[in-house]
Amino acid sequence: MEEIEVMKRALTLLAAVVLAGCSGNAATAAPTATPAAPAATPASNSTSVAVQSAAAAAASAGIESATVTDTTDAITVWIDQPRQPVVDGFVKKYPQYASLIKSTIVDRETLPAKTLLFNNTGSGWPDVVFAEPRLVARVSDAAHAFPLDLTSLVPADMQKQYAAQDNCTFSGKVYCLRNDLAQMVTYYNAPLFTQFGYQVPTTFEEMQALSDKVAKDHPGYYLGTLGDGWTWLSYFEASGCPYANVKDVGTLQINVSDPTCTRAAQLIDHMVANKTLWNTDYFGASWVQIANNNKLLMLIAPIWAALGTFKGTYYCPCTGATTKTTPTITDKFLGVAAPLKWAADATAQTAAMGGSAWVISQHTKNPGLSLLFAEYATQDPDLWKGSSNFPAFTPLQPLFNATVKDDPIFASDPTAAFAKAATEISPVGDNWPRFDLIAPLNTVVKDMYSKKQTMVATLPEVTTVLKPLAEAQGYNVTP
Amino acid sequence: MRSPSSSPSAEDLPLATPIAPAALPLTRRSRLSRLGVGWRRHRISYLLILPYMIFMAIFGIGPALYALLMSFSKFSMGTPQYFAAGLDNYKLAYGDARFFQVFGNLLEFLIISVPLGIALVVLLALLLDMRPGRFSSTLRLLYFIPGAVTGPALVLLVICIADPGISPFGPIFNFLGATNFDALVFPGSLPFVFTIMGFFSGAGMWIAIQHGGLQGMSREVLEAAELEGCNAWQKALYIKLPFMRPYIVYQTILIFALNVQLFVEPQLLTSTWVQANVPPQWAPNQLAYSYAFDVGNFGAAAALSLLMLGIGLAGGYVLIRWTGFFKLEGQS
Repeated sequence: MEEIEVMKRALTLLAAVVLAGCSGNAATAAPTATPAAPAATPASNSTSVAVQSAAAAAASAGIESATVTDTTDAITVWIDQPRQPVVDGFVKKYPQYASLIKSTIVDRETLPAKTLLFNNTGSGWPDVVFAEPRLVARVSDAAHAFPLDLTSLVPADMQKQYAAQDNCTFSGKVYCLRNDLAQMVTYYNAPLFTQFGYQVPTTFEEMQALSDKVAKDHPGYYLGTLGDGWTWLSYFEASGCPYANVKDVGTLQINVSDPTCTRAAQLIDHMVANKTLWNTDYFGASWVQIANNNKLLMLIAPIWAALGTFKGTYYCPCTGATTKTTPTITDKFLGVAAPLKWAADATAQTAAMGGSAWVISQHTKNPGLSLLFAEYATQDPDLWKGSSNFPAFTPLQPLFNATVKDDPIFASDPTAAFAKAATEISPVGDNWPRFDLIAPLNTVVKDMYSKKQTMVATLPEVTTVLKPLAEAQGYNVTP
Repeated sequence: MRSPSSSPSAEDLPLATPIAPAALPLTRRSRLSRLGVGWRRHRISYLLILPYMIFMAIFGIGPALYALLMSFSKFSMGTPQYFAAGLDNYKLAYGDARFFQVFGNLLEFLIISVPLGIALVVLLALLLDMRPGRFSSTLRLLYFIPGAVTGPALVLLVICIADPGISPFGPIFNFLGATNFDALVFPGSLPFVFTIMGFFSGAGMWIAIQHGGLQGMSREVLEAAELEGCNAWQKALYIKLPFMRPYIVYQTILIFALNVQLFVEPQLLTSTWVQANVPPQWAPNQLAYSYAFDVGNFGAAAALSLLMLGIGLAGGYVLIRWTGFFKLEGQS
């Protein structure tokens, strides 16, 4: 999936960023969770001292507090390539458990199918898996019965420090620990906005009005793109459309005639008609070319796109062909604004594209070590320092802010917009049902273009395509 | 039971030729048992097909029986609870909103791919036979080569060819107005796309088989036709084609069965890396797969698989009876 590719690129570029700029932010990067004592530790390089002080810091700060009682059972961790530093870091910080960690790189989309096979053979489950809450949803039903209930294993006040943890909670049980969030924000090209004399919109109505101005005065500039399920969600979840609203474990609401759906569809039709909306996903070659030609005026995209996509794909140095007008990553082009809202709504809502978690199997033989690993992966300050992912663990968020604040790609400090967006993740959207939504929504979007009809006319297809999938999973579909 | 009175001839199917029975001494046991006589006479035949029957029992009939068992089992807990589901799995699978869609898609695909595939293969085999020699055998080899590549690899190749951005036929597609992948691969064009994918990979083998069958024709008949004044096309149409009839029926049965099982091509197109405008479940096998591995309901998947098996068997039976496929010369 795209976010895997982007995560890969994000962390490759992260290495470059860290190497280039890590010297600058040591002093400002002290996370709030670490008390003063370790900072005063002299530059002693002895591992045992470092481990001791880290453990002391952790214990006194209340992070990574899981107790490991079983020191003989190994655990299997399923990761993807960008998560390799997590395993390496854990082994370095807890060398006493190094021999007990076995990690494999597995495509996590296979988790639901593999769980069923393991259930039937009676063995083979991994102990810890790096997977998005939507995948955890798919393995939480009675047939899969994969996750371990963490409600009583993780202290309540530690649980409270995770943002968007509701999406890891299923029927009141905590099935995963959020790793990062991928909320969507509004990116815009700051110099172009100033040059054209435009105000950055705060509502969708303002964006629609802006699209008319752009179409009239500056045709060829784009305010967004719609080409796949994710870009579809960037508009429809932001509107609160109940396209697949999980009401409870057995009921799914699919109602695309709701006014919140029609208003998003009408906005899309308006922007397609005045040619300010492009027709591919975030990584489509033609869209990347538009960005390289500096015609990307505005885009609703996830938080990781800033350092993961704008840097290196849309803005250059990048992998594609550059033109004379291609923005560079140090030109302070990228403005970030909080998510747009509809004027009639009280607050804004925004979609999230990705944002993963760590789930522990209920068949694990070593829950203590599995939990310690998951806690380390989500809470360790040294691991998260310099990361371009937005941590779900709130005490780590200042680290992220420090990383982005000084990045020369941003026109101004984006941290306030990112933090605001994190609180506005759509409740409809981030709580996924037990089946994949993106592949069916891809076909809906592509049908709209191939049949040359409006999004309003194509909306009933969402029901046609999602209803059988829901019923096959045992949901009772209500309007 | 085959009548041993007719001796095998070139017109007969090379598949199962009866062996002329050797003269057996009539022992006391065989005098008492008529069945014993029959068995003794044909025991070599039974012995020869025994390995096939064993494997068919283990890998063909056995799984089908197990699927029957699973179709009545409940899978809501992940592992099977035998006989707990009654007819629920059948109701769920056959009542699925996608059920008629997927079978409709399959019917469309069969109507296009089976006649087209057979007609083209027969045409090519006849053409090759018209000009025997090195040129013909080289072409036969060239046709056969794609068959050596595994199905999924060919599918990925066709996917690349269908993308005007990277395809060698890109300029032609652009000229015809198709500028991106979605313009060429969309739900309406899928039967043709899959026909193309299947044809170029499988045609070579069938051309070789049909051509091989044609070699069994008696030369006298062809020479007689030439003397009568037949040109090459008339020979092909009126002499060779009727002769090839059993082979064509054989090919029809197998291509029908193969195409009913269509799975790899649509499944690869729906994968997230390709992002085609293709419904996630287009063919019936994909629906069964989805029930098994997306939902975990192996019972519903078994119900669908048994339906597919029924269709294949019924189709094969109808074709065999209708064409008298297994009849020998001289039998009514």
